[in-house]
Amino acid sequence: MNARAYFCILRPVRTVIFALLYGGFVWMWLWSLLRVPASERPFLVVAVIGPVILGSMFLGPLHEVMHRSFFPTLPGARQRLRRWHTLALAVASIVLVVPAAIFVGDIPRTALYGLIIAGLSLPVLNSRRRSWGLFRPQFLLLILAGIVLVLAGRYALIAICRQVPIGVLAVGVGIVFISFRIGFSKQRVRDRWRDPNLYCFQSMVPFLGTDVMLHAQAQNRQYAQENSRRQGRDWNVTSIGTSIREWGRVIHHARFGRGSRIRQLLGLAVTGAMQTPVCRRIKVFSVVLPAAGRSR
Amino acid sequence: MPITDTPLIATIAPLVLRNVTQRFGKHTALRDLSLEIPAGRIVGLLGRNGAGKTTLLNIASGMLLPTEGTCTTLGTPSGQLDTPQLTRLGLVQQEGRCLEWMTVRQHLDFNASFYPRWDRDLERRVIEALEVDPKRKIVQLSPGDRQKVGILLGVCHRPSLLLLDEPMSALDPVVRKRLLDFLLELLRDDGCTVVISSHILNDVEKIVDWIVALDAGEIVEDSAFDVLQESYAEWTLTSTNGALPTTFNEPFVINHQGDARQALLRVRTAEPDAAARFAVTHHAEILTRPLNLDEMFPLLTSQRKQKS
Repeated sequence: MNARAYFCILRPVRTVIFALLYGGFVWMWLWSLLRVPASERPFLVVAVIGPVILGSMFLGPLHEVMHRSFFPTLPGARQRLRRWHTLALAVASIVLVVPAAIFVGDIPRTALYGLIIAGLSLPVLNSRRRSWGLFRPQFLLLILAGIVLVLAGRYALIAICRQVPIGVLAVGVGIVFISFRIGFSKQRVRDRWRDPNLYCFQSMVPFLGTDVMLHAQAQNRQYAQENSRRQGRDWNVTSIGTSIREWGRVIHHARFGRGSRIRQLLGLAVTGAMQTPVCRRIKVFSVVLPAAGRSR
Repeated sequence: MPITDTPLIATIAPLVLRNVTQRFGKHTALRDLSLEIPAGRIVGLLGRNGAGKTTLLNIASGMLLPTEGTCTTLGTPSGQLDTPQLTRLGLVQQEGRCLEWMTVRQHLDFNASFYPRWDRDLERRVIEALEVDPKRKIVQLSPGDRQKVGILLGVCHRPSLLLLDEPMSALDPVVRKRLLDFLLELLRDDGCTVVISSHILNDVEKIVDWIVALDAGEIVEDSAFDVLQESYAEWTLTSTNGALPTTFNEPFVINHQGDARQALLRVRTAEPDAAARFAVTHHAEILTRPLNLDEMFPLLTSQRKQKS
């Protein structure tokens, strides 16, 4: 696997666009929803949450390849993807440490680098195994850990970074080592091909990759249908009657097949929560700009 | 380091399964299966739906680890296949999934970057033969065209062991013929060992020299195709003196239908004079006709039921 093949699957422009987009969302979340002071936002975005997002963006295309049935028979594919991912994260960590050092000058660079490499490599641990047929625990844990860290743990983290920067770097290196060892292990990679319904953000960009998105939705509906343990229902106008609950089920089935309603609701809630700060920002502008015009 | 086929490698059977059992939960897909495929052989893997063909090929390619037993592919346990073995292994899957957002050209270039022996000239010829448009995105292709891409990805590195799982199920007859011609060329040039699982038996019988039939996860036939062709036959029996019996007790008669005057028998016997002796015994004239693979298939795959 050469550089051309790696960049072909990575799609660097989309990767950067998505990383910036999600970084922006995080910034607005911190500002608008969680009310984090402006002095602490750069630390959280550039050194803690940003690297995790960027690490996920780098990893998504690799996981997409691993989840296709041709992957297990590609010679040396696992090792070569690991090598390219290591190289990509090394470059990303150096690129990230520059703005981190500029915007978070009061924290030693050693500690910042330790945090950044740990954040970049943590997504490698995502095994994409579903628990209770509903959630991917890593995804939920990541969100919960992020919120807890932002709300309660950031002062402790900043203090540790200042007091034992070498220790933070050592822990970061340890996390990198463990993540790569587990995430790229033969065992972890082997069975990924059996669940081919994985599409990374870069593949599903709306407007640019709509055909892939429609294909992915059709595949997911089929997957849900094949894996559903529920009995099929015989719907007709008489049996549904005026029940809003039943009509809701019909509409959900028409759109998502036999996919879990709870999972869809969770997805909608996360999407909605991401949009909220943007809407609030627009609202602020709609109030501030006319007022500025009047004052002139 | 360049990979060369040394005489030692050539003498090792490319695929050896010993007492392989594969379970998926309570379902047993393969049951204590043992099989050895020597180099250069073209094996037709036959069986009804759910007989275990795809599971066998997945185990052979290292995509599945057997629950019990061992599978050795190209001299290495299939669970430990690494670069030297995988560069010599080709796999075409029935419903193989590619990267949907890529164009065919991008996908070929991506896969080619993993193989030191990727043959661009062969790739060009197969693209022409199978009529694939390299500029189209995978997601926009029909199921048949996606199958063609799967074939391209599986053969262009000139594998020495090629595993084909229903490679022609979505192809039209013209493309199927071209694919078979191409496979024959590959076999002639490289001495490649091929295991092909397919339900389009009229096509398969043009290239195979060995038949392995599976039924409910067990091997029910493992013989040279020539031998099978010589032993399986349809006899049209016409009585010359009196009524024919309602049942035939000879062990080589697999099934029969007809009336007191004429009967149609499907038989399996290796004895050359069996028909003549049978005719004398039953006071009848016999017209024999060899069976093709399509006609043999139900007889081969129902042997376990008959034995039990």
